[in-house]
Amino acid sequence: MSGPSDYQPTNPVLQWIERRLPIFGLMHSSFVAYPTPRNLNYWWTFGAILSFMLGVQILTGVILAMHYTPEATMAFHSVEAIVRDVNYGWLMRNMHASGASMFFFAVYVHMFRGLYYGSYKEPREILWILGVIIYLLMMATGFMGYVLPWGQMSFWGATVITNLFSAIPYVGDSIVTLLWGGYSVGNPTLNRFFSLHYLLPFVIAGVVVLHIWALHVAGQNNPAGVEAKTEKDTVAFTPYATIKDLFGVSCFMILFAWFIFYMPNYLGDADNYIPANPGVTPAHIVPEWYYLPFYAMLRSIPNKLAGVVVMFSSILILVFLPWLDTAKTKSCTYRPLAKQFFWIFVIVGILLGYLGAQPPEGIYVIAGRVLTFCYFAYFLIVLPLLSRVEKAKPLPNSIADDVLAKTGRKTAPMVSTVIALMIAGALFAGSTQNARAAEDETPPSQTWSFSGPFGKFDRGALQRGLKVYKEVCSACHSLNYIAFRNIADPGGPGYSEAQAKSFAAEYKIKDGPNDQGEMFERPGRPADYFPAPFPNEQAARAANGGGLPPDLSLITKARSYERGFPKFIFDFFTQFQEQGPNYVDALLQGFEDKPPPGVTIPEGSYYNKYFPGHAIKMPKPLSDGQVTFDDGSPATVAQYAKDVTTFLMWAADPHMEARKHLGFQVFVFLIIFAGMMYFTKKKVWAEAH
Amino acid sequence: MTTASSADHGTRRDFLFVATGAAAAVGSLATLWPFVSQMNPDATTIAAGAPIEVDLTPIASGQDIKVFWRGKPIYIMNRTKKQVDEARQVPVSSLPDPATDQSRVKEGHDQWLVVIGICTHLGCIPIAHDRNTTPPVAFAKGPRPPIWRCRPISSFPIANSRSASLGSNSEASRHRVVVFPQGSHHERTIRLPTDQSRLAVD
Repeated sequence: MSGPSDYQPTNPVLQWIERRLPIFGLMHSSFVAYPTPRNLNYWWTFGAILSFMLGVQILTGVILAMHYTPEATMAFHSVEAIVRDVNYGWLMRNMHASGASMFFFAVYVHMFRGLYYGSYKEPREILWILGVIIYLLMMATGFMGYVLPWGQMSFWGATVITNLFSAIPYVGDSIVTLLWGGYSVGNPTLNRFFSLHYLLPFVIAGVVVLHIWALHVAGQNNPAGVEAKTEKDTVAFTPYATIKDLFGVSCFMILFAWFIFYMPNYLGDADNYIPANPGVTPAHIVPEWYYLPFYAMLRSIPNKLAGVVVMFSSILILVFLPWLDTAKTKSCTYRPLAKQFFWIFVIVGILLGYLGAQPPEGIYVIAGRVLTFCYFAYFLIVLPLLSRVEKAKPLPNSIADDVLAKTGRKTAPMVSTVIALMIAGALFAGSTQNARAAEDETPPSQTWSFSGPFGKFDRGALQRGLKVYKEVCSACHSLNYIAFRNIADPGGPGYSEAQAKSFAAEYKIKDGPNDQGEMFERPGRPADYFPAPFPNEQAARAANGGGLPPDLSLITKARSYERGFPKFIFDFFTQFQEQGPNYVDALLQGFEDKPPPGVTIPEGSYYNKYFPGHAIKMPKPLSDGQVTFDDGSPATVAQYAKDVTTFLMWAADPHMEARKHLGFQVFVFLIIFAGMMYFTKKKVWAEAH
Repeated sequence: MTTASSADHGTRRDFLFVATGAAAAVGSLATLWPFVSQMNPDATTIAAGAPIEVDLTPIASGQDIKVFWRGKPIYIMNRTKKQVDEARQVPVSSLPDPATDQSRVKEGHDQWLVVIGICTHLGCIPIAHDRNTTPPVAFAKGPRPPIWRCRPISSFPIANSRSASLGSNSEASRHRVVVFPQGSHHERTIRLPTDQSRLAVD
């Protein structure tokens, strides 16, 4: 990609090919001999990390598409089937879902790096604009991907975002209809989003090729911001940049694996474990964390059209950045004022992200407006002005001089920025969890055997919990995603296959039609699923005073509560993710005969301390002595609640033990491997100095 | 680097490079496994392919039925004495997959023939050319010798104590045949019958 190569293969077969298609020469000149500035720091490895992430997303995405059903009544179910039944399906799904977050995390680092070191300046304007296009494509892809699981947040996110286009004068409604393929978000929408979600990553890959092409024509920018002039300024891409990039990727994989194996739902929204329901909008519609700053800007503008314009402008303004910042000095290292404003801008972005997760009311709206102004002021006022008033520090004569000057200098500033960014990133990433309403009492945190990196389900609790479900809960609540065979699965209640078989045989399962065209009942088989207590939603509501008893398969993942700042930051490191079980356990014990003074509970509802709004349609389900345990465990409500919650946690996450077990192995490997890569990189680079 | 100990450095460096490369190779191979394994049948598919029981009571002598199991037609035939004798008169050596009729049935229940009705060639369901001939008979007679071969149900006759067996005396009122998986490694718990009878019919 950087002109004709003088590369000549020695192997005659390769020579034969090379004469007809000079692909080896292209590879050699692009990724081996290509001169790369020798002073690049680790922020530059994010380009390689992004290529890696694109590859991971495409690979896992193609695999998920083999098992996924893009149909409105089956999509949610098929995702659960992937996670539960496909071999390593949980791994593929976690990789893809947290991979999206990792991809965006890396792209933000990459963009801020470009911003800080002036990588958009002459002659790299097109390179930068191609990057903005990739980013826009990523946003579209990520948005449509989030719709595919067809949970509540998928559905309502799709509704809200597509409705943005209705703000466009004259053609808005037509555009929205085109996006929907109907009168509202529905099956046609899901179908086309799936198609486009599959297509766009390949478009991204194509633009990435252009991006790299432009990069190799202009040459890489570097921390000093002076162009490479002599051979002393550069090193060969391979092995120097290659090995450094690989080391960067291996470190990044550690972070990635933390999410995949230990915190798969940390960045997700509990509401998305509730199947899409066009009749009920979630209390707070929150997009994925990577859209939050733009969502905040959208909501801070009272006029719909103006809000949409502001939101799209906030991204499109990046296209004009090369002409807004006209300062000759590229790197902020030599721009004392620009450097300070850069960090202020980073903080503005993070705070906007935080606001995006808050309800749009009171002080949040005002703060949103101020920060939106700051965001645009950075591009439209600060940067153009700085180019005129700022006096830059003297630049090094060459990259080689910069490297020599750096030798012996402490890298403390770099470390401090890493720490600052990590804290800020954690704040930002965790802010999604703040979206939950805080008006209700927080359930107390229980000790669960399944928490932490080595957590395992308590087999006794699972078996007792199954008994409680069977004898009590199953009268009203279905458990649609659990088959009888599952109770014999490894990592589950620990029954044998024979036990699962006889357990199944106690149930009557509707089957048919038979040869006479009639439905009939037969004893359950291990392959059958727990039968639902009601044939349909209407029957369930009619029998429960209008309330619909939710399916319990995913209840411990579909319920959550706000942890608040700074707890959610610690949660990331302590792997706390038991909001769901804490809530279910608390709810089961949170019934009170008399509501507190001043609280009135409507007829047919019951007071519960932990239920949002306190009026729950379910009467107190458990009472002491209701279920007898064979193992002598106390027949108390507290014990029942704990056991059935443990059972439901397993039902929601049946491969949790396998996930954490494999996670530990992966971590041991990755840490050793990253260490080896570090020393290898050091050895390789020792020859360059 | 070009000191007296450079040779030593070189060895240590080579060791580091080889070790890192080996670790990368091991990691990549281990990562590859889930990506391949996910294409195997999932748990629902395997569960749905568990052994099925078929009620044999309604099948009169000379009749046959077809059931679907694991996406393939299974023909269960209650043969008349005449049909059994005819099948046994076919010279075994003339069959593409030589095997005696006796080896395909359970001793004492010679009338029951259970076969998977697909061609061992490329998996199609053979067409019965003789309209009056039901599929198992078509296999037994065979319209086109070189191609149509019938794949046997390896598990029938069932030589397995764990399975309910055909015409079991303990189930006086209901005759059942249990169709077991044929050498599938996806079946974790059920011991597979190892009967290798190849029903090859011309």
